[in-house]
Amino acid sequence: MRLSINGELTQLNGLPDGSKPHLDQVLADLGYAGRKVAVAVNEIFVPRTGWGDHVVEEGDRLDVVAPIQGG
Amino acid sequence: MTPDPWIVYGESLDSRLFLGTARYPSPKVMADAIESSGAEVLTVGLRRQAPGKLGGSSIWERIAGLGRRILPNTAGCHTAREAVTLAEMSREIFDTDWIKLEVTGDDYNLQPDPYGLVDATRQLIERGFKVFPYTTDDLVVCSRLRDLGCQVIMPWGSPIGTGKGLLNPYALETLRNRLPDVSLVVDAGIGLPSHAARALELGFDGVLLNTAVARADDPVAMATAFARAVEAGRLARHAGAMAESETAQPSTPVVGAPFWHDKSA
Repeated sequence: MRLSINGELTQLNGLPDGSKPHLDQVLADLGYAGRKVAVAVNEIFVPRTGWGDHVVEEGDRLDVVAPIQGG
Repeated sequence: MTPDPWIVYGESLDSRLFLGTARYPSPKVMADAIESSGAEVLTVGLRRQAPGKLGGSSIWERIAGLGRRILPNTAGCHTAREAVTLAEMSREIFDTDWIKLEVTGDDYNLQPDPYGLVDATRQLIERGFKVFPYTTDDLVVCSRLRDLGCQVIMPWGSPIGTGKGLLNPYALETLRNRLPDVSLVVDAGIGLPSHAARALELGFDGVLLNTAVARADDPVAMATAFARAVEAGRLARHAGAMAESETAQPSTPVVGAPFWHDKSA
C-alpha cells in the first residue's frame, strides 16, 4: 500500500489476508513503536487511544511529529 | 519587593518572563540560561519525526527535566485547520491544554494572519484549550480574541527574531488601556533587556522572548539581565512614573541660589 509519511511517498507491505491495516500496525512497521509522537491522518488528529481502531487507507497522508525546541 | 503573583489561566506565576528553548549554543547553556532567567514557562514546538530516529527526544527530556510549565507553539502553521490539528497533537504529547497559537499570514516577516488566528482561537476554545494567541498589535483583532475568551493575548513588539524592540509603543499602550482585564504579553521582537523593561513599564503583564537570550554572546548572563529588567519594569509600573514636561524643571531649589541679584535694585 502506498502512503505519504511526513510528505514522502512510502510503500508498505499489505496484510497477508488483504485486509486494511490499523494505524498502530502501520506506525509499528515504520519504526515508531514506543516513540513519543503524535499523529494526524490527512491533517486530522488521531489520538493515541484511537490508533488501534483507525483503519489506514491507500493514499493516506500521515504526519508524525515529536517535541523539539521552540520559541 | 512584595510578592506580586501573576495569575495565568488560573495558575499563579512569580516570573513574568516566558522563555523559548530554541537556538542556544548547547543544551547545557539552554538549561543554565533558563535557570538564571527564573522563567517558569518555557515554549516548545513539534516537528515531523523521521521513522526509527530518536530525533529531538533527548533535548525534550532535558527540557522536561527542568520542571517548568510547558507552553507548546503552533509555529509553521499557515491555516486555522493546520493550527488546530497541531494544537491537538501538542495537547497529547505535552499533556497540557495551554497553546501558544501561531497562524502565519506572511512568510517575509512572519506576520500573524488575524483571520486564521481568530478562527483557530474560536475552535480551540470550544475544544477546551487555553489559548495564548500570538498576534499583531491591532486593537480590534485583540478585542475579538478577548471576546472569544482569551485571558492572555500576546501582541508582537516587532517581527520574530529581529530584536528591534517595541516598534509601536502607542499601539501597545492603547491595548493596555482598552483591554484592562486581559493579561498582555509582548511576544517577539524583543532584543534588549531595556525593551522588556519598557513593555512592563507600559503595563504589560509579561514578555516572551527567545533569540535575545539564546543568541547573546553569553546567554546565561543575558538571561539574568532580562530577569532583572522585567522585575524593574514591573516595579516601575507600580511605582508610577513622573509626568513628562516639555521644558526643563530644575531639580535643585531655585530659592536661595547664590550670585543672584535683583537687577532692578
